[in-house]
Amino acid sequence: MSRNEIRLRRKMMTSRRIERHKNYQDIMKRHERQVQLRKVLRIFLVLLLLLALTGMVYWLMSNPRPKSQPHREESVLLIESEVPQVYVTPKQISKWNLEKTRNQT
Amino acid sequence: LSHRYTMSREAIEAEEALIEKAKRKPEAFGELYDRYFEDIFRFIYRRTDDEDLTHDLTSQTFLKALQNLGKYESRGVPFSAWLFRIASNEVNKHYRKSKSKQVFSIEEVRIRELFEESGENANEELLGRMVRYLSELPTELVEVLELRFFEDKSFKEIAFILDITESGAKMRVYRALDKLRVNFHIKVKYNE
Repeated sequence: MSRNEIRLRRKMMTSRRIERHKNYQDIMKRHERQVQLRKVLRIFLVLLLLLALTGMVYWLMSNPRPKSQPHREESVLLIESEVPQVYVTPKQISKWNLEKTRNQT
Repeated sequence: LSHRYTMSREAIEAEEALIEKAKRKPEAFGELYDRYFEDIFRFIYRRTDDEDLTHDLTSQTFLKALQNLGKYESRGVPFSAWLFRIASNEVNKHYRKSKSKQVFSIEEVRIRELFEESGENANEELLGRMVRYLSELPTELVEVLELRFFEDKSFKEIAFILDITESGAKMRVYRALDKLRVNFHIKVKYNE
């Protein structure tokens, strides 16, 4: 099967015949229509962006962020710093428990 | 042979001024349209062999050119090469969409001229052999041969139109011509 289709043309296309296909007015009309369409699309996009921004601002205003409580955090820190950290092994716990029951008896 | 080389310096400058004017005022594009319509129409017709389709694709080419004129900048090739590039893209797009085989419609007169330049008599059998041979060549080689010998484009222009490097364009033309020389006794020009 061939890759391309080659056709031999016996007659040359005349300039007069080609001239009949010219239509600059149509191209200008199509161009103007597309320019207008692009303008409308741009306006629509700007409006959409504005709408999104307004929505975002409204949402932020209606859902204020909770105020931070710096004093409480400080007090927690103080308590934490006062409590010594002791690491106890399970063996020691069982030893303490044994001593406790002995004392009770 | 290219349009650029047949244009005088003043003509090139006048054309560039016209392009700048058309960028600001689309109405001025009409002069460029009138100047290149026939060349583009013939080029597309050679690639489609369908008058109605050529009409549509030519209109589409000029519409695209008008829409993108603001982005156009002179790159050492004539303005017509830019139009040919758009036209070539439109034709390729059409074949991609329609999924049909690429058509190259070549004027018999031009093929006869090629043989006559080499002193050979182009009889029907030889023409038929040439058609069969060209139909077996890869599309990209037929494309460069068409641009080189039927559109008389320089390597620089071919490279710009097909969006390849200049050396790539030369390589494709030489490869196609070497194959042609082996099969046919055609004298081929290797000049720029």
